[in-house]
Amino acid sequence: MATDHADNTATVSRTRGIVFRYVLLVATLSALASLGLLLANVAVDAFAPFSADPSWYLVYLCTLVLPTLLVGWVLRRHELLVGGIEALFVPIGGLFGAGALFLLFEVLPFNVWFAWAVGIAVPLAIWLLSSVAGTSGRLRAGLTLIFGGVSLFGLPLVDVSTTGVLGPLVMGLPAYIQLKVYSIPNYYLTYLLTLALPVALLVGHQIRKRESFNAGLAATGLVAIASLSVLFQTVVYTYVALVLVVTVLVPAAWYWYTQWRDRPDDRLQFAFPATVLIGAGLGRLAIWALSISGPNSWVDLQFLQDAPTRYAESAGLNPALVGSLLLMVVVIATAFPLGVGAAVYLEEYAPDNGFTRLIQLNISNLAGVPSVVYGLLGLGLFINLGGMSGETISLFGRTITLSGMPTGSVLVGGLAISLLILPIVIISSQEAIRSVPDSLRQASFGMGATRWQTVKHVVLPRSIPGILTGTILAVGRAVGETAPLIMVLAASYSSSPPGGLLDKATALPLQVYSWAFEPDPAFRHGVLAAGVVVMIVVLLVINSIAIIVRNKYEARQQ
Amino acid sequence: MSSITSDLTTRTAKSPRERLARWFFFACAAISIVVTIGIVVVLVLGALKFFRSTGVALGMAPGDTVSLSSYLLEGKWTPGSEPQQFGLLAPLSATVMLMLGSAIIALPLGLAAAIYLSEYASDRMRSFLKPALEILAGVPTVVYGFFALVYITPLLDQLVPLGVGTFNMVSACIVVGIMIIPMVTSISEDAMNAVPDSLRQAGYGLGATKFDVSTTVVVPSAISGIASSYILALSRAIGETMAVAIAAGSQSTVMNPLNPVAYFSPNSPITAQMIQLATGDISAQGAAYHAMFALGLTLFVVTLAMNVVSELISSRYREVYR
Amino acid sequence: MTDGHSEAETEPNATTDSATMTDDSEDELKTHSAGFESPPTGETIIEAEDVNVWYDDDRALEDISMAVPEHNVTAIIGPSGCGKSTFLRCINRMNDLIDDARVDGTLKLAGKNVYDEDVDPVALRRRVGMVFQKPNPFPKSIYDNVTYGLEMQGIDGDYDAIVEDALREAALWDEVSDRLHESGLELSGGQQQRLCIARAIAPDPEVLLMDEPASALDPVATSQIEDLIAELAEEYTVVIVTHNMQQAARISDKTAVFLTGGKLVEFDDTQKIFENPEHQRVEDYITGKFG
Repeated sequence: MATDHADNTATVSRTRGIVFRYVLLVATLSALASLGLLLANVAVDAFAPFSADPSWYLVYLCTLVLPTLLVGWVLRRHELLVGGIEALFVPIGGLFGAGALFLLFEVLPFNVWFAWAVGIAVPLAIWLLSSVAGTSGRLRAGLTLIFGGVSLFGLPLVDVSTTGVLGPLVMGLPAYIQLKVYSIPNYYLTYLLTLALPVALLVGHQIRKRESFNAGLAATGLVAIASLSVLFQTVVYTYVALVLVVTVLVPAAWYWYTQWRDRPDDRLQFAFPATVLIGAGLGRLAIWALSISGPNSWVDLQFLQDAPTRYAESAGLNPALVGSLLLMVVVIATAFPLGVGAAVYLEEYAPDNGFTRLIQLNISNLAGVPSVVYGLLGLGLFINLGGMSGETISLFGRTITLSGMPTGSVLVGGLAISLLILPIVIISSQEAIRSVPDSLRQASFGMGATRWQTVKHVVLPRSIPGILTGTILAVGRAVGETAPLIMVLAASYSSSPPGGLLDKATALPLQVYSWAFEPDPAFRHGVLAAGVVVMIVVLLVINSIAIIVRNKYEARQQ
Repeated sequence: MSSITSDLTTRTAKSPRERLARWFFFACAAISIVVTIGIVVVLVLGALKFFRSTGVALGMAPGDTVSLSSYLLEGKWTPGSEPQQFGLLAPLSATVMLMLGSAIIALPLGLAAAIYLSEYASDRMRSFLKPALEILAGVPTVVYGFFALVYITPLLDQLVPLGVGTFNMVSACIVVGIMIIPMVTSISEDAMNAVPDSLRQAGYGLGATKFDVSTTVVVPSAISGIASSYILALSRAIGETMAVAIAAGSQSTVMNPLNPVAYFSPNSPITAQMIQLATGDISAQGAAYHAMFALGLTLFVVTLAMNVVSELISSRYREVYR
Repeated sequence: MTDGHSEAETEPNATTDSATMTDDSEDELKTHSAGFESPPTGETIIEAEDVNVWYDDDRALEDISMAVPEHNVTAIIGPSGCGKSTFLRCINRMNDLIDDARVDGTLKLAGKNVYDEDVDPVALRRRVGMVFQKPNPFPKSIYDNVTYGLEMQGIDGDYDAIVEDALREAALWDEVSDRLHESGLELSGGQQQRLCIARAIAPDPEVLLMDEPASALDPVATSQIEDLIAELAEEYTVVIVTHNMQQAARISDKTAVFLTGGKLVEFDDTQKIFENPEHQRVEDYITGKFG
């Protein structure tokens, strides 16, 4: 027995294991490190940080960075940092929202905007009136649909002269206003009436619910908005100021106001956005006063506003931004309802048979099809109609020439991309729906609810956050897709943004692709880098929205 | 009494609204089948018009078609110059090069990350590393192409003695490899997590070290999931378009995928060639136009086969653990 | 609770090879390693002194002291949740794999406290084999399952012969000798567990720990395992945890009774425990008044 001691103190070599562990860690981090290096390179090329006067950095360090870090550290101790960052997100998010609106205004000039706003106002008014009057849901829906249809699209089959009082009825209000009405409000008044007024009414209504002031506040809000934006006319266009006020100032003020009132203990968190905003403002002021030169960044407002040109200095990516926005509108409008609908079917209605398995298998296979093939689908199906484009058929006594959708149009590109992300939307929506506990469904059925009622009132509300997150992430993927657009022949150089769904499409990745082949180093290391940075920022914004949506809803469901 | 009975027999479940809802949702799901059929029909029709034997029957001029044997067997792919030649071997060799090149990067690194995440990483590290790796997959492919062209190629040019061209396959393979690492990692890690803990315990109980258990118990037990992840990731690499189109040039040449030197030259795989044809000067009914569909069909079949094989492997061996 | 993925144990820095256990000759398999005198049966091989175990703040074992004799079958019985498996896992330091576990006290294997600083848990587990409750053969061939421990521990020898001997000792050889290269998972539950026993004894440990080895098996397989255990005690020291009292009565030489709170209430010859226990609580448990 005594000799056993030697055996029991033997050790087994662990060096192999330790080396292995570190090799694994290095391998895991290597890809991340490479990406980090590449991103750093792009950032340096795009923002040209070394072209700035060192004192530029010093100023911002003192006014912005250090105070923010200090306040952030203090807030962290009190666990208010997250709230403070959220409070900052609202104005920043509003800023991006304003940007999206400005892009939209390039597609819809203000007169078109006004015309459609009037057209939509009619059914909206009908809806509100019938809600107040207490008519039944079906009647209300029916009335709204009928009035909405007529006011928006008119009655095309009626063969009546389009002048005179009946004009609007025949053509629909938007078309009538655009063509026949010559005096419409200008830029500023249009946006005042269509944006500021509803927002003011909404704010007033919310405040009336919380306090007992009422319309007085709404009116005050409206007046305040109007007067504020006129003040800015020396710095920016008044309508730009108006939009900024409506998208940035009002939501921020609203959010801060409600947080201030609802959570008096957390009021300290506003030190964070205050520090950031005041610090940035002070820094800007100091830079302007002292005439310090900042970095000669390729990414600036001009870059976002101008069209691409032959010359690196003046090149911009505005049309691509507008194009991507329009494409995403098409993509979301198609992929979201189809995807969620398919997911609902597969999870709630589908019987457990071979056909359902086939659909499921089909969807996972579609998820793995390369993006070029979806482009070919768009080309062959939507544009060439399977080779039947140009053929004539006779229908109801009239001969119709079949023509596909316009080559390279936003509509075709958008449809192709939306089919590309459709499997992703379906799969993530399925997961979200599956995560709804079955006990809730059982409870609903137990109360005699039908399948559709259960889906509408129990399953969908509960799974919406997951569905939204998955869809937003899929949209993020869609923004970066280029191959389908090229395959639907949208790839020629275009210097103006698409004006509608049937115009030639441009998109951020397409623009980057076309710039990639310019040999001029100023293009490659300047303009191209700036374009890549803009793409990355757009993606970051989209993914952040997804994360925020998920966190907000998760917190609520807890 | 009768009122109850009539209440009981009221057909709420079959009301028009219910029926409508059900059919709407079914239609949404059925769209996916329509899409698949659409893809197959479009590709097959276009390919039929490409090949001489079927194209002529469909009304194509013989000069606008290519014989199947020359497509499959010839090695010159020059759609842009006269005379046009359409030998698949050229872009196919580039596709194989892309697959091998990205495999060298992604398969070892992806598996290493998966082993680390599954067996060694603490919860905190895992909560940081997993999302971080997913970011790799979220970067758009044009951006990767840009990285390859503007940063990686010049760097390689300095490192490699003989230099590399502006366009080369190495940079493309590197970025595509980085791009598919998250696929390998996440599926392999899932497979390793699914290995029951009792097997690890058995290993430890027999006096194995952690290194032993990870390499001789966990990885072999998860091998089907790992293999499946490899195949899926490689099928994604094959389908990758933009990064290669930007970084590796627009000319397809037959090269030997096993020859390392070949990677320093430009080449253009099937996907990038499809892009080339679309941006080139194509008349709507010529051979070049329909070549896109022939290539598309080839690509579709290959990636579909790989995805199916991957699914088969993972499902067949997944039953082992109940 | 268990997190087998991490190993929270101390790593001694010595890089010496693992202790060589056997020479090549077949006979050595039947005896223990050179330098180890075979003691007369009955000498203590495992000695626990005031062993306490906590999972986080919950105490799982309280002041366990017992001396397990060589070449005996020692059964540990008691109601569920009273720390039987925990104690078993202390012997080969499998509890080290659990992050929240904390062990106090002394546990000596052949005179050396296994919780000493200089003891390498991996080396320890090469001397103490373990069979788990649910059969857990590796998804490898039967042959590779049995040789796994040999490979890991760097044991040389005629693997074919060692495999045959281990499988014979585990009463499985006749059933699998013609299909050694089939997967271990193709066997029935009882066969799998015997495979796990063969796997555990192939590297010739001193002690064999068995954690409810038959509880997941049908009665026929159970009785096969029980028959096996008595024979195994001739070669090894067997410590078996079981919640089946009749089983303990049938196969063990000594029995330890653990009761709620992780306390060892009585430890004595099996016959005494079951016929005339000292403590009333033990008698109540045996006669089924609770547990």
